[in-house]
Amino acid sequence: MTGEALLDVRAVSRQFEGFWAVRGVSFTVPQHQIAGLIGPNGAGKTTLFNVVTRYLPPSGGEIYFAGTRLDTLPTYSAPGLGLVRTFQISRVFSRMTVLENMLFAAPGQVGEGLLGALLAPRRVARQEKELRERAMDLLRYFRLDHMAQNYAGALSGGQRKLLEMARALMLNPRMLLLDEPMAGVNPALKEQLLDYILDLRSKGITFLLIEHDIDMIMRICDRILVMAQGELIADGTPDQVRRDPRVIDAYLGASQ
Amino acid sequence: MLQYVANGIVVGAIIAVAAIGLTLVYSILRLTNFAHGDFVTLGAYTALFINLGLGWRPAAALPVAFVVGAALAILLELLVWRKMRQMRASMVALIVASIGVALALRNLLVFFYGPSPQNFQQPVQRATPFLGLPVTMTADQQFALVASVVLVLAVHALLRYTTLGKTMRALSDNTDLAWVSGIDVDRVVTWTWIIGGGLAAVGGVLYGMTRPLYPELGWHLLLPLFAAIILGGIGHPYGAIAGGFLIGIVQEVSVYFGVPVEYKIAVGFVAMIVALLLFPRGLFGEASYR
Amino acid sequence: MSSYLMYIINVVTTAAVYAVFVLGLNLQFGYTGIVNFGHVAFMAIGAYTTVLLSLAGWPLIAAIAAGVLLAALASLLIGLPALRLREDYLAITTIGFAEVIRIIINNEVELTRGPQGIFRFPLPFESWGLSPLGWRVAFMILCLLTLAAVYLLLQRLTNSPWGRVLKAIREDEDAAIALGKNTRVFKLWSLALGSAIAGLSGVLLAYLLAYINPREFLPLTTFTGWMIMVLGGAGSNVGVMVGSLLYFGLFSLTRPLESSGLVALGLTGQQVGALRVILIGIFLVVLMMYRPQGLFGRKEELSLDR
Ligand SMILES: Nc1ncnc2c1ncn2[C@@H]1O[C@H](COP(=O)(O)OP(=O)(O)O)[C@@H](O)[C@H]1O
Ligand SMILES: [Mg+2]
Repeated sequence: MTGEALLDVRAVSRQFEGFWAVRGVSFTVPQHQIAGLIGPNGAGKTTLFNVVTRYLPPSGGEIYFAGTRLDTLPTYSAPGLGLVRTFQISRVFSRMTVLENMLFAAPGQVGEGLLGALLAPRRVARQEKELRERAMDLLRYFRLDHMAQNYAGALSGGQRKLLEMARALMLNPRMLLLDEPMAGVNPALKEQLLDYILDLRSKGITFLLIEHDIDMIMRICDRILVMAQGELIADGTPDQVRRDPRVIDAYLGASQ
Repeated sequence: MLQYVANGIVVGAIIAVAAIGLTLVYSILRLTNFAHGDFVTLGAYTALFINLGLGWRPAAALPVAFVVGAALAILLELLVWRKMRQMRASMVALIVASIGVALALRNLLVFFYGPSPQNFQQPVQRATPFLGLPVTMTADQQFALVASVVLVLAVHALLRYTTLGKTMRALSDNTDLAWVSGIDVDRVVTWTWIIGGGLAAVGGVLYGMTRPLYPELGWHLLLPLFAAIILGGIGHPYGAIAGGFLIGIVQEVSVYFGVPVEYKIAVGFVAMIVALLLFPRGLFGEASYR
Repeated sequence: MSSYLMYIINVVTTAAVYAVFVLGLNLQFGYTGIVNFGHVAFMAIGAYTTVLLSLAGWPLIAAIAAGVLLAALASLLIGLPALRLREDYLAITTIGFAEVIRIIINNEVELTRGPQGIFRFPLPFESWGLSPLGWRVAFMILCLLTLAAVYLLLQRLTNSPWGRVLKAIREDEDAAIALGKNTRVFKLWSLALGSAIAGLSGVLLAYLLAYINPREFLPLTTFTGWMIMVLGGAGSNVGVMVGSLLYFGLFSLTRPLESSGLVALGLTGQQVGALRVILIGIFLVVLMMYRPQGLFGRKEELSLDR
């Protein structure tokens, strides 16, 4: 494994009315890694994402990103530090165009302030033009450029997943947390998504992704974390994890 | 002070009766029904109609009011709510539609009875000591209190011991589950409206026995009603009952502590706002709150 | 002839005043998704503050500015704690807030003269020595200019990146937060700005009526505002203005019918008023059942449905 720890999760727990959805989970993700998070349904993967990105306050534990403690900051501040997530069920802004979805995501916009929007129309227009170019580049990269002026609500499930990822990239993130990015995506698009992820990693982005398709995970991940019943039960290379008896047990146990 | 508490208990009991329906409709049908208060008014005016027209005592109008309230509720279900559920109307669209119903209903009463306050025609009543306690109540107040408690107990028995009641509780606890699990939803919905509309109207008759009637009566009661069910944790009929008593007592006792009478309604609103902000899940239950 | 003219002027002026009122609501709900059912409170605060301050000798402009500002501040009072609530709870809370404000105005007789209302207060253009018709015309122009200014301001804002954030919040606040926006601040600004606009409309209403009275600020006014907004289609500033004109146009077309026809049938003025509100109620229900996106809205674009 290369580089220093970018994400550092320390003994994180979360309970819902007495039920521990995540319990005592610790791990780190170093820079430039593609880490996969797998586990049977209900293992607590999404909950862990929600806690790491401060969507839910943790019941215990600490989270550090690039050395900054995250769990004491407001939810909206994680993306500013470079940690951006997507959702298991994609959440595009339906009644906004695909391009608007992209532009929205850009940080540091002058026109997002009331004063900027009112008093600096030239500066806003200039920035909008730049952002539009960047957005169109990204949309071309994900082959969504022909949809730029359509309402995002009109996209197919797979296209929404792509838009969510493209939108996240507008923030120039250091790390992406992807919750089941391939679910509901057709096989051809899946291959493409894998290529995108590998390509983006080579551009310096770190990944942590939840995925059910074990084949896909084994192919692209440098390292795999396995959760079952709220706990982290295995952590290693794809080969190590594949042979881990606890992992086999967890999957067999869950399917019974 | 005790006298104020006693007045509060009477009002609270009536609020509780009316609030049960509001909370059931809310949790089973996912409808924030802003017309519920106007069903209360409708009940009161039904009794007034009978009282003035036939010379009956208001108490005798209780069953009639129940039937009128229930019938109108079912009519609206058939005309409006069923279709809106089918087209998956948003929460806000439902709220706006229920406000429309409320405006129409209220002004129908204004149309026939005018906007000014009216009283039932009956002999003037003297307040007498109640159950040997150091508080006094008029005969009507005593009747309203006893009737409310009886109705609350009846609803309790229904929810507790009948299959229908158990289904309703299951539905109000977990709507998602029950909608898909083969329960005869239409039947439950119908009964929800019968209980909701009927009890609201009955609550109106009882309320009218303790004060003058005017067309905004139910509207002014609506926000305390919401306060009661929010305090009780939305979707919990028992919470609504407890919340009702609490709101009633807070409103009346505030007068004792020097809050001007004109602000009594405002006290109800403020209590509700505070309740919402401090206890969004209610004081008692863990309501479904997303 | 001149009474007919007066009549038209009145319709246009009223429609303009309400269009301003509803433009504020539309910023909050149509663009940001904030369910404000207490909008009339901010109208009342604007009207009373301005009237009372100008009676106390403040210059008109300063009094108006204070009224608008106070309306905005009052909205923060309720918005700061309540904006995190779910839609239905927010609806209940805002109605409750507006009723509390109205009850206070109704009962603080020493400050507001209570239910009696205020009849004589400084009006704009008073020193110009205009005829009654002339004043009406001048005031109509003032209202139309105000409407135009508010409209242009809102168009610029809602088409800016700032407005884009509001729309994203309306669509999915959680997703907006996930992309690093401090949505709470945007919602508060939207609420405050919309309420300031309501405050301004309250000032205009006070001048239009030349008196103010707590009964002008019943919840019905808020609901009428909602109706105008959903008529034109929430989320469209042009739709709001068309909706307002349509509403008051219809309203005024049926006026003569009412005053002659219905009263001839033996109905009192009160009954005619009640009938009108019954029709408003039925119309709201039918609109929500058949065209929740408004008369002019495109279904897939902007509607009350997600
Ligand atoms: N908001 C919530 N309230 C109560 N229980 C929850 C909530 N979110 C998740 N859970 C429970 O936590 C467990 C883990 O869920 P989740 O994290 O979604 O699993 P995964 O993503 O691994 O499939 C499940 O049993 C789920 O029912
Ligand atoms: Mg999941």
